[in-house]
Amino acid sequence: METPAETKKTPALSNKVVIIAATAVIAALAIVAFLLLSGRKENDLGIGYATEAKVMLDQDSLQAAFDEALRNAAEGNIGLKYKNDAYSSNGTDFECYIVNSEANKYDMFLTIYADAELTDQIFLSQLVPPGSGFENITLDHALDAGSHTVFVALTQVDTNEDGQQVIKHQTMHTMDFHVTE
Amino acid sequence: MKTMKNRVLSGAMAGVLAMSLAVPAFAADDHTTVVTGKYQDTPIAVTVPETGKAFINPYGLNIEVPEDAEDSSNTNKTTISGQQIVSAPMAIMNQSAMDLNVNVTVTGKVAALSDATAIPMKLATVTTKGVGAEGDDDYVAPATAKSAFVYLQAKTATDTTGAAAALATEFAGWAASDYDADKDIIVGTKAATKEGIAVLRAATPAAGGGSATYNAGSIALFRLTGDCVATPKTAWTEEDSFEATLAFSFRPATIAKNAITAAVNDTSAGTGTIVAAPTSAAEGDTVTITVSGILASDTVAYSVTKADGSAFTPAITVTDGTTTGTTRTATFTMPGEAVKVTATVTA
Repeated sequence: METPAETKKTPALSNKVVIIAATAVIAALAIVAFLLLSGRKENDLGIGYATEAKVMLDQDSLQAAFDEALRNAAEGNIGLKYKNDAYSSNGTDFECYIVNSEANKYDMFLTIYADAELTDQIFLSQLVPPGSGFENITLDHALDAGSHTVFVALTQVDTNEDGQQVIKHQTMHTMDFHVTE
Repeated sequence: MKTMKNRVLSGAMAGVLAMSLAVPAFAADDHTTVVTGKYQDTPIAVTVPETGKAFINPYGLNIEVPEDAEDSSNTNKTTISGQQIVSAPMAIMNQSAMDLNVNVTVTGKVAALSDATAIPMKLATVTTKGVGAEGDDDYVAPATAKSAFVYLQAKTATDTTGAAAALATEFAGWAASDYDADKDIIVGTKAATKEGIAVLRAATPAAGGGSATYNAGSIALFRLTGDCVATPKTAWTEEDSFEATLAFSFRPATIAKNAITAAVNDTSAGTGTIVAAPTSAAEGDTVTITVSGILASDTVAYSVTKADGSAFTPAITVTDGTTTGTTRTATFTMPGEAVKVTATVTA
């Protein structure tokens, strides 16, 4: 994961203030974590990078489900902005260009997998607001020398009317990661 | 091996942690990228659909698609009829000024049933309807097991607005078509890649990062389609389902373009000029002819021939645009070779 720039400590802070602040941050994270991990996705789409197909055996259920899918599709487009190729000389540190398109409305995070089955996760990003992105990333583990097709999953996150963070949209594309000898 | 949900949840957790950090590698107001010798490629800019929904519709029940789902006063509907595998509308839109080839990697997965002893559905590798006639060497009998033959199809959209309602209507009117190995990709449990499943023609990017203006061919529609056994030996249940993970990739496309020459035969005032735009075009592109400097009372007739002047069979249809005044327009669809356009102006 990319590490943010290190911030300078403020020596004037008392231990009490530090503890209160830390507690507040942990509490906020716990709340958000609960909401995301409880699988809340707006419009009850469920979490997943895959298109799910269920059996529909009666007319009314099918029509209702399709109507809902139609509404979601109408607002479910995601702008991609990236360069196909990323380069590394050590298999871990890559020069790349991946942006949360300025045309998007939501923050997103990236998850990159080395395989199509999505079993080998090699990168997990921080949240990226629209118009921002990455020029360098460090993978969780090194790729071998050569060229690799990797699978880049994008997850957009939104805040709903209740102030809760929810997964909004997800999609996936590929990139080619090149490791020179 | 982690399950799909766990993997995604771990991603979600990372997102949670990220919220407290939220420091991307470069800021929103700094789009400058250092271009080195390694970075010759241009950024890909496209709009893709989110992971959506599809439906196994064993009985081929009708689905009505409203012309505008957001406008209840508009009751016009298109009916999807008889399709056993149906997905929500999916469109990919080019936001860049370059033509793009679209490749896709598809991985399918059948969901496990809550009753471990129950028989889950299967993803078939050929149509469940059977192939050939009984007695033929290559005959394959219709399937009877609970199975679905699912494939991903693409087509160039005629719509150039990119509006959800227009795309949904075009999607709904997309007639069912059998699997074509040259164009489609089957959804199986092993990852498979189809290169060139669609070509996105260049769009006209918007200044300032807004949505592009789409040109003919800038938008492609995608769908999961196929067939399934309507009444299998083991009955369908509402728990039966599969997932299809679609990962798109985009590469600049090189599309052959042919020259367009234009001439005016002005038997009236003799001052007419003709412009064909563009001056070279790929097969399927729309070419606009503009004849100007003529009299308002003149009549203009158009012909499109091969570059050597010989006729196309069948003839290329030219559609009138502006038919009055001193400037006239018309359009035609470019064939797969160079053409010569002639406008004959008569008093």
